[in-house]
Amino acid sequence: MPPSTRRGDDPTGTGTRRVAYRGRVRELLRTPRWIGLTALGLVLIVAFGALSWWQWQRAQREREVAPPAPVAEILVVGAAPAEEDYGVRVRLSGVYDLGGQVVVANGPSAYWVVTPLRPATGPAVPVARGLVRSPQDPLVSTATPGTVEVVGFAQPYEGDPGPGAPLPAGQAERLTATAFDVGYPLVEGWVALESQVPAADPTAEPVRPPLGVSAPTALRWQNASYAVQWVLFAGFVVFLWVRMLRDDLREARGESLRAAPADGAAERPEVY
Amino acid sequence: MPVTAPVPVVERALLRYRVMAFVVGTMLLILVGAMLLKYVFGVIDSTSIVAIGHGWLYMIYVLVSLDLLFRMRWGFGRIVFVVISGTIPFLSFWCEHKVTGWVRAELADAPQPDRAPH
Repeated sequence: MPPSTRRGDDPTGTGTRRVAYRGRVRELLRTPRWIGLTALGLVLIVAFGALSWWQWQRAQREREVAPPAPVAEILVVGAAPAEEDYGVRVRLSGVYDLGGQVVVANGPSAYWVVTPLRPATGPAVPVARGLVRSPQDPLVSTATPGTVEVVGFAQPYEGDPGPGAPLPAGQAERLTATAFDVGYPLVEGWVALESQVPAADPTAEPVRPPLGVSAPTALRWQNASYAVQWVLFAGFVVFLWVRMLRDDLREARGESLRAAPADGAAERPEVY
Repeated sequence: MPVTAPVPVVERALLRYRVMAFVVGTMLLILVGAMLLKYVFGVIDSTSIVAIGHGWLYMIYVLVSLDLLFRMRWGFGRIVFVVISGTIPFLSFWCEHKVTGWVRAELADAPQPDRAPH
């Protein structure tokens, strides 16, 4: 075999070298060091795959939501909901009462549109229908007419901020019992709308329930992120294995590992 | 142990590693602090943002570490040490100190014919 044949110049020679290279790889892989490293790599890949699967299952499980409970089981007149019921999914039906609606300031240029939903019997339930950027948003002046089936997250009233600067009629600083001025009983608490039948028109940005449901929602992204990362770590193992094998082959071939800086860079440009 | 890559290349790899070791070490301390706030003091609801941030920064840390370790042709033990220490509070700072010492020692031993400024 000529000492320095470039690939293409002598196909036969290249083929011979390839066969020799494969032989060297097989020989190296049969050494105890490489049997061990390969076994370790496989164990790590399987373990990382299992960890990824586990995190993915956790991410999925968080997504499963319990079927909504009847609102009367969670929100009642005259008593705040129990802390463990914060964020529970509830269902209710009734007619929106635009006249009793309150627009609650939720930070600069963010308003919750909260409209009492009056059922056929029993107390009305304030439903936060959406988050709008201005009190003049069309959502404020329109609500789905007729009987509406609502699913949402039960929330307690916010703390009363006490007397503050006067606000325009129909607006409140906090979502509290005193924010409403209606002639019928209201439950103590409110519901952040998740979905309704018939669908809302116009649609609005949903109100993110402040209590109880934010943590699990975020956790699912954390688990999904970890699931992706475990797969990538398994990829790192493959990369590490290939890289170490290549280094060992070079060493076995007797290539000088202590390459002079300039020569080394020129000889193996693909590495550095 | 021999150094195979040109010196400035190794120093750049070392700098990348040191930056990421510092970032991941700091992020890990923030994560521990956030978990204390959540589970011990109950002040915050969720540590997810910090956890997700640490997770992805750690990925970058591992990549940057492997890059340096291969340039230095270090063995399996050091790879495991560096990769694991990015997940243990405070250890990453000490590990970064150790690794920098090893690299500096090997660079000092290595012949430096044309050490270009960078």
